[in-house]
Amino acid sequence: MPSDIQTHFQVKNILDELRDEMSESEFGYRIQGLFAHVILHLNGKIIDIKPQGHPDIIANLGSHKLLIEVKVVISRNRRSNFSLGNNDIEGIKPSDVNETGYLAVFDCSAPPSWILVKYNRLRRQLQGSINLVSLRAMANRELSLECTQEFVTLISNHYYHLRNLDFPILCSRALKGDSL
Amino acid sequence: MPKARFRLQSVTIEGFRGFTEPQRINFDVKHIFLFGENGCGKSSIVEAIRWCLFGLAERPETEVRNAYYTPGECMVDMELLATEGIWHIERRLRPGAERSRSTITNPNGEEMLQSQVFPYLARMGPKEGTHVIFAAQQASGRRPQADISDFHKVLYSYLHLEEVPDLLERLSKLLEEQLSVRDELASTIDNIEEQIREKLNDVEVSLKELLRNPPWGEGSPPTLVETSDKIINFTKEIAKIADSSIDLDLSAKEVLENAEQLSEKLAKTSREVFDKKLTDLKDKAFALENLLQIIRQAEKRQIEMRQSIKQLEEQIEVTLDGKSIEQFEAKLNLLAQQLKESNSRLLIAKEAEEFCRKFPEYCPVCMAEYTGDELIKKIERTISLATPQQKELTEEIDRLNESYRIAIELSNRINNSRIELQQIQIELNDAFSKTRLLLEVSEGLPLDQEIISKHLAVIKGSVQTCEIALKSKEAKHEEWKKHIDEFRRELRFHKYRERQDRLQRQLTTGLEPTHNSLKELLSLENTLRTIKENLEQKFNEAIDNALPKLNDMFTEVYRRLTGQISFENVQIIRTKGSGGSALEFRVGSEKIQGQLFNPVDVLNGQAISALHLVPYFVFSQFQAEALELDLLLIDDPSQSFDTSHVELLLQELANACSHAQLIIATHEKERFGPSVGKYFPMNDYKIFKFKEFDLKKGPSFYAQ
Repeated sequence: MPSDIQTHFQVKNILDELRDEMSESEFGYRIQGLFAHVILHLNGKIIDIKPQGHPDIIANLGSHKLLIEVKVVISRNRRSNFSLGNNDIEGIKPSDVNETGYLAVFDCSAPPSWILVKYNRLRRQLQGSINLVSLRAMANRELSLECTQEFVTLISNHYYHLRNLDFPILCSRALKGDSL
Repeated sequence: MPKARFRLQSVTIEGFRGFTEPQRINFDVKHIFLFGENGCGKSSIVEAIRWCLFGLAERPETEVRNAYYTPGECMVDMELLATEGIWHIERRLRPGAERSRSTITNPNGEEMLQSQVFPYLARMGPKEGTHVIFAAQQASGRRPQADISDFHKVLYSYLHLEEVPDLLERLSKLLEEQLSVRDELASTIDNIEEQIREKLNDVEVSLKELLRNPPWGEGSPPTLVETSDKIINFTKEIAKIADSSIDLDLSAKEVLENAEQLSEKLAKTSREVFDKKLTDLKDKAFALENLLQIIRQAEKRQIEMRQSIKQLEEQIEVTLDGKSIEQFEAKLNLLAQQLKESNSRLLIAKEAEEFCRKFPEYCPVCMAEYTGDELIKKIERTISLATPQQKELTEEIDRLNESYRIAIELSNRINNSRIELQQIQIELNDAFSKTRLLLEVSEGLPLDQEIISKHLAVIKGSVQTCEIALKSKEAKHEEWKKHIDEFRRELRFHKYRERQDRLQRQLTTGLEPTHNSLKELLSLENTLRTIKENLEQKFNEAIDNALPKLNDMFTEVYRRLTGQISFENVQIIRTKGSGGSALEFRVGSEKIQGQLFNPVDVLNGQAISALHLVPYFVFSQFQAEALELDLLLIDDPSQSFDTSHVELLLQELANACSHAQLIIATHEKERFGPSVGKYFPMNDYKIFKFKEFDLKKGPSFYAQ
């Protein structure tokens, strides 16, 4: 068993503690901010992070412009199916071949993981709600794993001052390209 | 002119709808007109032909049986003329049967399968009434036994796309099924994952609880091997004490159980041994203490008794003035004798005195005459002297008697004391005997209170030593128990960790095959969706491409049938999506450019009836050159038509009959009859007129 599996599960406890200290909404913003740093760690450049409106994050990764809608699914509402609004989907609709839209869902249940689904795969699922497990099956597996790994490393390295990293701090540092 | 391979030659009908006894209608010419009033049985012939070819799949077939026909048979036999001879198609609904059966026989009388003869038999039309029936082996791709009764289906058939809507529907159904299967699988995975998470959470809570007070104390947790080693060493230690051995092939848990059993056994044995020893010692000490107590008390009482006897003896000595009781008794006897004598003398003196006083002249002894004065005086003096002496003697005797009584009493007490002393001695001897027995001291060896006390102290010392030893054993046992408990907790820790690892593995990689299955399902779903979307797109494109030409054909036939001048253009429009519900008839006019109308809003009844006939005339022409069976069955086509339009209709029918065989039933003999000859060559058609209808005999008709 790889040793980092334990770390993945430990990150859940860290996040649970963090979540207990704030509202779900604040927690969601922080995860959005942290995800921007995940993109940074993947050698991306953050162009914009929107506290409101769509998409949540705009970033450049390689030659592609990423339009990312971030959603956080916490354990207690996990059982209900995941539903997306039209705005969520339309916000990440690519306008040309150089753009890629992603829905980035953070599943807080053990082990915490990122699920990144491309717009093209998602648009066909607009009718009704979709099970999170199905969403995972639609996801870009490699990118999702990469983001999860980076996220786990990020949380493990910064857990001691995680509660001080609020959304504005996370955003400003991500936009400047500064690390945490 | 195109000519179909088969031509309907005759129809024999028995027990079908209005028909009872078998009746044969010979079609020795190509086209047949059936004229008769409503309800006289002409429509039954049109229906019989259709039933013979297609049966009645959607409804209970028993409804075609004539209820008044007692044999209960229901049969239609069609003779088809081909170049090689006469073929038969027979459909029969046996008495009591629910479904009919069809048989086809070739000119040699051999039974053939319908799929061999008419693999693509199809019809266009409503459930009852007018039909276009056609079959063509060459029409590749057409579905066997297609029921293309709806207009849009005919259009798809014309476009060779009749299977596409069905395919799209099946794709939609398949997609729905896929979606349902996928949702079910996803939900199952979700449930399983949730269960694993719940279990993981329980394990983590247990681990957290255990780690609050780790059994290994401070420092990092031991490995399972380390814990196992500790357990084995610990068990070895106990086994050595218990003079036992351990099986090293057992699991650490089992070895620990062995250790616990050995420890319990040792504790039990040592407790039993010590308990017995302690009980024996305590019993001995108790008994010895009791005996010592008895000896002490007896010896004390012995001393006291002896002192008491001595005191009593001294008292006797004092009481008896140093004399013995015998001496005292002798003295007492002597005094008593003296007193007795004195009393006798005194008595005599008193008698003598009394005598002398009474008889002063006589001697009281010898009775001689005697002057008694002197005697009296002497007697008086004797009496006076004797009385105090006697008194003194009496007093002395009383005093001595008292002393004697006391002495006797004391003596009795001494005797009693001596008896008691003897009793004490017996008790003492008994106590010493018992003590000797208890202490196993032989008779020859000295034994006294001091020695007994020393023995008792030794026994009490042994009890104390024994109790200390027992406490020590129990403390050791408690220590083992504590170790066993700690080892057990350590093992529990390893078990939790192992479960945690296993559950974490299950959550991360364990369900991967199931997730992959879900991915495959999704991939299939996407493929199906893509196929469906592409098919829909191509299908709609094909319809959109075909519609302009088709609209021209519809308009042409419609114009010929109605002579319309107001709304002379017919258009089929595809409103949205695909499928029949999206194809609608519209009419328009050259005069009102760019606008289309719903026929029911702008056409009169006659025009609408004509419009309904348009598809039959248009589609009956399609592939006429390739058809094997080409029938146009029309039941009451001229409803709402005026005479001029009946003419137009006959003209159109004449066009259609260039390839198709017509069988036309109408109650408008007056309007049709005069004109039929104008449009059909005399030898090509035959008119049957229906006279009457009898419930039991069926319809009556004759060829004109």
